[in-house]
Amino acid sequence: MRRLLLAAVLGFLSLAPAFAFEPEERLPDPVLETRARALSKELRCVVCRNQSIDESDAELAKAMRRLVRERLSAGDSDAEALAALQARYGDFIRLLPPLTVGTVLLWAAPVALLLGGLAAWRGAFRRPGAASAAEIPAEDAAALPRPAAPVLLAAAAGALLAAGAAYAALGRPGLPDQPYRPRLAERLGVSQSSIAEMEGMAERLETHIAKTPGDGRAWAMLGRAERYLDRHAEAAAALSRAAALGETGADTLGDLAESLILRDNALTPEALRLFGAIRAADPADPRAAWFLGAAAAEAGDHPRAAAIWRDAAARQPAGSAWRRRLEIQASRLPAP
Amino acid sequence: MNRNAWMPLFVFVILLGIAGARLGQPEPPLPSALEGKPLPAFSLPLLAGEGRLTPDTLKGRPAILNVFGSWCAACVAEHPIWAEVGKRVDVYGVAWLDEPAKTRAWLAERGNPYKAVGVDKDSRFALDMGVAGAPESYLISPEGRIVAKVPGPVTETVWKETLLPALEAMK
Repeated sequence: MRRLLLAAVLGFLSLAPAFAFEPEERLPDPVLETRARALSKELRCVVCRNQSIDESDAELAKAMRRLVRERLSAGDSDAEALAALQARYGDFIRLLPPLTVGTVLLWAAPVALLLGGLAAWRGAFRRPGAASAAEIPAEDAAALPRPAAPVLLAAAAGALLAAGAAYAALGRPGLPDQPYRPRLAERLGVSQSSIAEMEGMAERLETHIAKTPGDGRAWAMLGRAERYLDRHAEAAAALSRAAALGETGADTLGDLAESLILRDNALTPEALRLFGAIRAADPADPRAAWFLGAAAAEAGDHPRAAAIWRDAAARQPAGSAWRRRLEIQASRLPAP
Repeated sequence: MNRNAWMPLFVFVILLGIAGARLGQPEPPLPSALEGKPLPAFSLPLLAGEGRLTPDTLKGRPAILNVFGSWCAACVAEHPIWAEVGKRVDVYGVAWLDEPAKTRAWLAERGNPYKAVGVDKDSRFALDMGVAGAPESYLISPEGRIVAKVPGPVTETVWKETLLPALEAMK
């Protein structure tokens, strides 16, 4: 259980800095703002070169984002705003280059080279007297060597040998298969027998529930077992059943919210609503604060994220792991 | 066996050689989209005194426009050449993304070779000129046309082989 939580926690550590875009840049009109974000993703940051200006922290990228927003607010179409920057920086500014003679040549060249090469080989190995006999004067045809089948064979054998040598050097034929249970045990850092135990427990709970489907506690236990086994969709289903049957403690609701997040791989509104309810009932709940803060950070609202994390950290016992973790998380937010 | 049979291999090896040689080289600077075009409209507050730096300030004589900043390491390396260049042509500076106080201190320490310095704190001028980094320099014709753009520091070689000939050609 703790491992899973840690995995979720580590996952969210990387979420906060995923956007360079700053909330104060946002336009009040949501339609314009959506267009501006979409355009920003198509424009190259000329400082970092392989990032879009939407992702880049560079001052120049920030200025470009502002320019895009100004132009859109002034009534430019997307194409006009794009053209304005293209006129200054050239086609390079667009991450998706336009179709020009240059780009067509660039993309066609490898195909042309391949076809040209194949044609040259065919010409070189053509059997005299076949279709091309008419082109070759008789005396020349006689002087040509026999078809180069041995050369082709040697090339094929050489290619096979080279592939074999590369595999011998780089390949790992001795690598064993990895069945699911040992892999899961390794990932969770527990023994295979405890996985088997948990699977057995889940099965027993399912039989029990089949007889008494109104047992909320059994549903909650089944949900935790499924969560332990990394089956998040099943866990979410069982836990929401438990919640519907009156198991509405912070533990169960929190586990449910976390299972939803792990199942969808996103901070879904449903999960955030659950964490919101938990936090409203108990402002000290560290897990709820953790995810609500992460959601605020993801939305770009860094001050709110910092406030949530710092407030919850202050409510944890001094020296506890949660307190330290929340404090670290708050300190990682970019300075306002 | 036919000699032509080796042609594809030959072409392939040549391409491989070109690709291999390019691999270790630094990224080429961005091509300029503005060379040959008239200066965009701009109006920058001056670092010193009243008035503004505009395309009209530069008109009537050839000029060099140099984008720099006190934060820019390559600008320090480039700086001495402007005193030299300033004897031949008017050199104007644009302090990009910089606090005027820091620019002043920087120039006080290293000497001020510029006829005037405009302040572009929020990159408006930089975006209009297609600036991708500092330093960047432009040779401007008397009619206000961008004749040449030098991304990166102007070295002795760049001055002698690129900017000076273009300047002479204008006269």
